Amino acid sequence: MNSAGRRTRKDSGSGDNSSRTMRTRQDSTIKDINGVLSVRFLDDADALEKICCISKTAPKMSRVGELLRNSQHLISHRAGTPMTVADPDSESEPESPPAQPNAALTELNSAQLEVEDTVRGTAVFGFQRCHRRSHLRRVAEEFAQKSPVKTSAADIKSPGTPRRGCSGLPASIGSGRRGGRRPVSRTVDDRNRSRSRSRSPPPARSRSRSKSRSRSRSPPPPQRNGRTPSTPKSAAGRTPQTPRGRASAALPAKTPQTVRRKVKLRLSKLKQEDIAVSDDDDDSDVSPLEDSSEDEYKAPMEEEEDDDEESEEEDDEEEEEEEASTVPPAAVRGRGGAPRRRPELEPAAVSAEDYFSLHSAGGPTSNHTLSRLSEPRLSGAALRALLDARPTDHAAERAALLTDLEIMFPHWLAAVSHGFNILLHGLGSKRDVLERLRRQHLRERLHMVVSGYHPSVTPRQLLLTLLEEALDVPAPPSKLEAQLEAVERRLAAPGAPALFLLVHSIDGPMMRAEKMQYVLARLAQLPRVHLLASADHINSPLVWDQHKLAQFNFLWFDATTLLPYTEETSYENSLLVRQTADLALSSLRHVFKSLTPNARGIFILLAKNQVERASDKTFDGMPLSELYQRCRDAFLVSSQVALRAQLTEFRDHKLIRTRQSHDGVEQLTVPLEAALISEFLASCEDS
Amino acid sequence: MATSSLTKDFQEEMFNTVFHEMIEYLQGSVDIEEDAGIPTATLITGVNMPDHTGVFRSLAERLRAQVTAHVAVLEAASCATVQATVRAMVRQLTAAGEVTAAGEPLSPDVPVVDEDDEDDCLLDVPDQTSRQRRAPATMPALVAHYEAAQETVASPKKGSPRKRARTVPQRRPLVVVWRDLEAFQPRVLQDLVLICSQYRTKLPISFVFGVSTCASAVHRLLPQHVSARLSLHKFHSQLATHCLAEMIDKVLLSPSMPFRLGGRALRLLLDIFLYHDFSVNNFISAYKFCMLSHFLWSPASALCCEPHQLEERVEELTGAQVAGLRALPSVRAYLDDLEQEERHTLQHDGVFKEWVLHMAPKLHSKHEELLVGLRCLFALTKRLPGALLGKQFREAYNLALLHALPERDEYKRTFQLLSMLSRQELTATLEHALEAVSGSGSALSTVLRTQLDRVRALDDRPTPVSEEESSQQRRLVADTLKQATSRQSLRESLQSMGAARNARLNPYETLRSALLDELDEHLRGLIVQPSKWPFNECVVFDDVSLVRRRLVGAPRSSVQTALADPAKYLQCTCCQLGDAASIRPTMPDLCIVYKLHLECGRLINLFDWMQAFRAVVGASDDDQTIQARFAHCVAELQFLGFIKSTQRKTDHVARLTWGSC
Repeated sequence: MNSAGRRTRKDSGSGDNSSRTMRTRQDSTIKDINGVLSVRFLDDADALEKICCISKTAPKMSRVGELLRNSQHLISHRAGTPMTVADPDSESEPESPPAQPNAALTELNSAQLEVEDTVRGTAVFGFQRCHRRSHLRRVAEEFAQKSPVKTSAADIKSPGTPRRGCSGLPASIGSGRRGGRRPVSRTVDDRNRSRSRSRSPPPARSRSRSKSRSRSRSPPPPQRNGRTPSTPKSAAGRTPQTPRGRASAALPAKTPQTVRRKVKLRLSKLKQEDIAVSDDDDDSDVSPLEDSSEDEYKAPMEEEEDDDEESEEEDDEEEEEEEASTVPPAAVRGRGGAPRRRPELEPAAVSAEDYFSLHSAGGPTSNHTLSRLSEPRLSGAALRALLDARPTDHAAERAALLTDLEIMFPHWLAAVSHGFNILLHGLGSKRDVLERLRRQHLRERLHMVVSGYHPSVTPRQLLLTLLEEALDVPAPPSKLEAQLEAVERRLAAPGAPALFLLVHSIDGPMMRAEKMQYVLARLAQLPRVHLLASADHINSPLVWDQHKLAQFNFLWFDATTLLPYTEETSYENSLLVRQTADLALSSLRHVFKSLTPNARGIFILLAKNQVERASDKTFDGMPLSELYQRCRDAFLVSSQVALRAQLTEFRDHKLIRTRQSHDGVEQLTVPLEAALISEFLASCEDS
Repeated sequence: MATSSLTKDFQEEMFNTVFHEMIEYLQGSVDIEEDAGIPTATLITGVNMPDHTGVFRSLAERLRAQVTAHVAVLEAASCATVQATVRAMVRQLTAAGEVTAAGEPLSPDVPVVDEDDEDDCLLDVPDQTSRQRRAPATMPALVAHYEAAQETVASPKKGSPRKRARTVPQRRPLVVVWRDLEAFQPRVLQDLVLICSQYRTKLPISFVFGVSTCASAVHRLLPQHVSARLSLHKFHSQLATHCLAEMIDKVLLSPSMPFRLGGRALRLLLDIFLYHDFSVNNFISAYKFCMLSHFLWSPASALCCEPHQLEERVEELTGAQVAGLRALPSVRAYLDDLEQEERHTLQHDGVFKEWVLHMAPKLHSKHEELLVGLRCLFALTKRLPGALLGKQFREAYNLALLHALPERDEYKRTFQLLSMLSRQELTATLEHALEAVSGSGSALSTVLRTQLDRVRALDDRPTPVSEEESSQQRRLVADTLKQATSRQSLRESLQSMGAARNARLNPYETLRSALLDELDEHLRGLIVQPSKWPFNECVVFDDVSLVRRRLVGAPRSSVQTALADPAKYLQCTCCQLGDAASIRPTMPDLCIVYKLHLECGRLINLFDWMQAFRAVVGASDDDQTIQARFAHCVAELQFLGFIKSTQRKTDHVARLTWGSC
């Protein structure tokens, strides 16, 4: 992952580029332009914030990405520095005249204004945090550059403190991620640079935060001293130009809760890092299943780092990616043997703190509903039509992933023939993979396909199909256990064929049942049954206990295809897809046709009543006595017993639902939406 | 493959003793008085559940062979109700007897095959008739069946009453094996025990309880009035770790096995065993997988064979294979150390093959040497404090595979500690070491033997400190003490005296250091890390990351990696991320939607989510298409288990993961 990250930064003009290139320039330049810039800059930053929070017009966000990129590109271009990252040579380069960055900054500001203008609509809900973060980070970095003297002085006070804000300099590549591992003896210049990069927050935005922070964390941990910009020391020594009064005036109205949450997050992070630093020295006993080799070790740690800081402030972002760049690229690449496309996976590390921070904060979500859309819920058919009309992205790459998997087919078959079973995991529909395997290698063999994502697959059905269709057992027993035994006997007989069992989504909604897994495990255990399955759900391993896992004897293969789960999700009750009630309606019609005229009358009576009172919120069914009264009036039934007999039949066909009200009265409803019922009634009247 | 037979033999032996005891108990159970309760053998199997299938299968086989034909193995999964349990039990108990009903003589050890045959013919006839043929599976039917079976056994012996009397104790017990007792419904279990105890007068039923936790589980499941009907006996099965140690010794380290596990792979396998499941079966399966991958996917494995096949194999090597062998890291390293000329001659394929033929058999002998040296070293350290090389031999072996052991601290510390041993301790330690290596017939055993002799010979000699010397010394001490004028000088003189005494070693100490030096030298020669051997790749498999990926699945991390950074899988240039949290409009829709959802709290507003999605992907599509794309992605995320629908707020979904994943 990290190697990829490094590459990106080099060849694409993304947001960090401008800041990085700026950073690598000599301090003197910055000093020169300090006076001019800061004032302008602060003005703009404040203005930005103001606009951001005041403006309440509707979002118009389509241009955000483009504008952002343009402005970044422009800046980095204007700054007159090369695109290469952390090039030591750039220090000796001729300094660009102060006017140039100045102009660039103005440009940036105007661009940002535009960007912010389009962004602000949803900024409150968190989705724009990314954009905002990158923008604010840039602002913060440039601001930090303007006060190099002060910060380096702070640095010299604690010369030996290990520091994290290390750049992607070649020298630091390969050194550990924490300060403790880093060579302490660094040149002052180097330190200065890294210090100057550790940002102080944009004055307007994080003012309230840093205040509360300095309150809560008055004695900062020593090793943090040098790097966190918002520790009391650096906060106190902030540039005198900062117009505090103005900033507070312009301060956006922020909910105190978010502030508290951020402080909490930060504290918890610090605590974790302290622990992590102390743990770093002996990494051989982290987890027994972890790899022991040093190079592979860094990856999981990095991941953890990412996770910690994901929800963090903008000023932490920077460190995160710098650390990412310190991992030697070779360490994370896949090893030989496996196809090149399968990256080495790091175990996902999450901190428990994240759980509490997620659950303690009642995240403010807006009250927008889907009714704002012209058509809140698309129908399934319309959805499919729209998606089919659109060309898929990355078609070539996805095809290449599939081809890579095809190369593995002989391996799978070899493993399967030695008594192992195959489980495919990874993102993307693996239906195609198993289907291709079936078409290429299993046509001549005895095989059976189980669609685990189908909502009606049951163990009994599976076994019956297996016995009747695949194994040609004429009259299979009806009991599950007996069926299993029959399969076992049939396959244990000499000369019995090998059976390939292909299971799509072995963790599908119906497959999660204990009974189903028991059946599959029993089958998989048989020497002549070869199971090739795919798993999609992220928690799928929870389905199996140790006993079952041993029975399955799985070999796990990463079969990431990134193909859409079209077939698999078509059965899921999707949130955004309108539930088509065609099925319910047609079944209702079928049952209705077979009823006696009197029974039809009763049902229509009930249904009409429900349609009439559809708007009544307090209506929760027609009382039985009322129904009886009306039926008698309409000469539909003569006694309550007769009515009950009819109702029993309705109930058996699931045409009605009875519920006991709180005073014990039986209430009858038709379990369909009012619109459907009226449609049904209309069709009844037609015929 | 040879391994499978090896492991099978081994598993047979694993439970030999405990089965033997149990069978004796069960055989005697028929004679136990009726009011003593149902004789019950509680077999404590341990928590290694995956191994139990094999254990109970072989137990049932042995019981059928040695005790009785009437054996029923009940599993919790098929015994949800009392009715189902009774049916399963009676069916299995009478299965052997049905052969008798068909007119065949009942042999006490009905092989399993017979039963299968019988079932097969059942299968062939239509289901209806087979159901008619079977008696109803109830307890009275069982009693009737059992009595009929007993008569057929007894009838040929109907001679004198005396003979008859002798046959009575031969009543075969009915053994019901309850696999994994804790998994049964307590209700079912209690009822069945009560039912069986009712029939105790007519049927000599006895139970075997398979308990995986501890013996008290039986009393937890059964109330007092039920457990009073049982007479419980406890049997402990062997510990899984012992089985593993045996297994490693007999299979992994066996000289007849050409294939070897590398240090890291072995460590992974041991870790899975110790920290995950304690299952010897799983260990064997993982070992098999290592072997399979070695032979299937490692080209160098062509030379991994028995020594006598080697010549043939080397002859068959193709040019490409030879080139592959030459490119092996260990061979390259070896060649680089050689003289220029020698290296040049080895470029020739014929010469190279001969050289391979010369070198390859050494791999096996070197492994043997390593084992001998290691066993000796392990025996030496075993009595030292601190368990320097681990408590089990496998730990020491793994250490030697992973590192160059003689350079390690553990090794140095061992010799430091050995050099402090008293004469008796040293003798005992050397005896142990000799015992450990005596079977191997290597030079080390002779060395140890002579050393032992030397230590013992020293014992006989009188202490060489003469009378005169000691008196002289005493005088010296007295002199120095008199000369001391101050406390300071007294201390100094005492210290110098002590140092002088220490410097002079007594003969035992001289001998000890000489012996240890000799031993050290020998061991250093023997204990060579396998990765240093040329051609070790042919026999040693150490692709630990492959094994981990295959055996320890990480489905969630693969999904999350693909979602968070699809470029890793797609290998495209358009989706490269500078920053893990950033989003690019070119990424697959699902990834964009996923990343947007990461920024949210517990609840996510669908509308806002869609607006954010629209903002990221741009205005390339019309609203409907974007909505369709978004809806599909949400459905996929729901399918993957990241979100679920919620009623807490209109048009919101709940996030199911936390943190940034």
